[in-house]
Amino acid sequence: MIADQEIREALGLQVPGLSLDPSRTALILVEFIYGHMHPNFGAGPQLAAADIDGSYFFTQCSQRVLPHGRLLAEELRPRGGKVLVTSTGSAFGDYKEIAPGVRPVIEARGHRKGSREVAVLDDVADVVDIVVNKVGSGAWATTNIDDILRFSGIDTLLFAGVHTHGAVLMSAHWAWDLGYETIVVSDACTTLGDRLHQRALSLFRNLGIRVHETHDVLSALLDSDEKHHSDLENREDQ
Amino acid sequence: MTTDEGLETTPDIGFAKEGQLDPSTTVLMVIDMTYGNAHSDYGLCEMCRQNGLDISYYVDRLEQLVIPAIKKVTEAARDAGIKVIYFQNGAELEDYSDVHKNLRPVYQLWQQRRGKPGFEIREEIRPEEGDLVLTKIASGAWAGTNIDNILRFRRVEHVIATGVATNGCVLTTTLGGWDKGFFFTIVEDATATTGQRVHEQAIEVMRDYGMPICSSDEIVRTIAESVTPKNA
Repeated sequence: MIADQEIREALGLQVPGLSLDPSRTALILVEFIYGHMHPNFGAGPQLAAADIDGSYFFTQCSQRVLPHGRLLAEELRPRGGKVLVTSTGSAFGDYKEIAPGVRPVIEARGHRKGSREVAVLDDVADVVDIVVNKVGSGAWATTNIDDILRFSGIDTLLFAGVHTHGAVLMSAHWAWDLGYETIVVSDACTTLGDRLHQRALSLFRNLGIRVHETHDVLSALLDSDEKHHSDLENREDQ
Repeated sequence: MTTDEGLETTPDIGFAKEGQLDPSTTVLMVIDMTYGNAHSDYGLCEMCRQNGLDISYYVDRLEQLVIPAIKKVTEAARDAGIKVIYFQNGAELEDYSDVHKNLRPVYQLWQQRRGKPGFEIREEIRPEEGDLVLTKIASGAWAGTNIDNILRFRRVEHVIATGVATNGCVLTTTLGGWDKGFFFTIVEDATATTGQRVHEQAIEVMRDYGMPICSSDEIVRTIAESVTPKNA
């Protein structure tokens, strides 16, 4: 039995090393909002009411996802990259415009326009360029994010956020299928358990979506600085 | 189950469940069952063999399970008046420039484009009059076709999914469709990919999204029960 990743390597179709042009790169912070990532809002009370222990998830959010997401945004923006946050909620207030598959979750968590649940977390709010409001799970099916990115000259996407096996998976798959260079930052994503997280990472790799850690991305950004300086020097020499 | 590393499965906290199967608002998708994707002598399988990779698991599953299952389900769907929609993935243009850069090298390698043998749908399950055949220039149906308009104009709510690859075009199509508001049912023995573990991972994701996973026998029975017998 073989997996697609092995096939790609055997056929010489493996994904090359990570290289970034920050001016053509956007960081998508998937659901960096109170309702999905803060234990006191939305998901927190909902999990508690269902007698589900959410401590692993919220610890991962506070100790890994938020700090790594912020660090990536802080390093990307000064180099010309863009930072987008996705948020899911009902503007009508009756949740009828929410995609039926995700509607029960969004309604149960109280994601309505103006609520704290749909607000971007203060931890990253000052490093965000655009908030994309969606009415489904992924970033593409129900938004104009594709237009925003293409008109901005973006062709490379870094994904961070929650849940790795939910909205992140849905968003990264669709982005890859529109031809974007797609990179999932594994230590800036989490979900309800490590097995679910690893399963999603495996599916990404098998499809050809890159999976890297935050330090890999930061190294690639530093490399882009050197390339930028080298290009400037060459131009001056000419 | 909760562990030190969190939950092992997604809790059932509200994802939507299966909609009622009504033939008039249901379609059957047969995804990428072309020679290039799903026959031992062409495309993917041929390239794997040439490079010393053992593709026997995939070929055996295709021939023993997937082709017979799809044949059975397509016949049941047509009998019930359920529209059958085939996707054939590949380029329309000879230089493959109509395919995005993440897929183009793959299609170029095994010549997955119109006019080549690998582009054709397997003879055993070929489309019949009244079926719809769409060329898909991407992995999922949503990025690469006008299927969204077609389904909405027909007022489709429920999609039955079959085809290959479970973790590729099937997963991308079902996730995207779910997020577009359609209810999906996955016919497990009518899907396949190159490895069993990856197949199971993709099936688990679709199950986590609330998509019912069933066998071809089960969906055939459900389809039959959804229509009034012609002689009744």
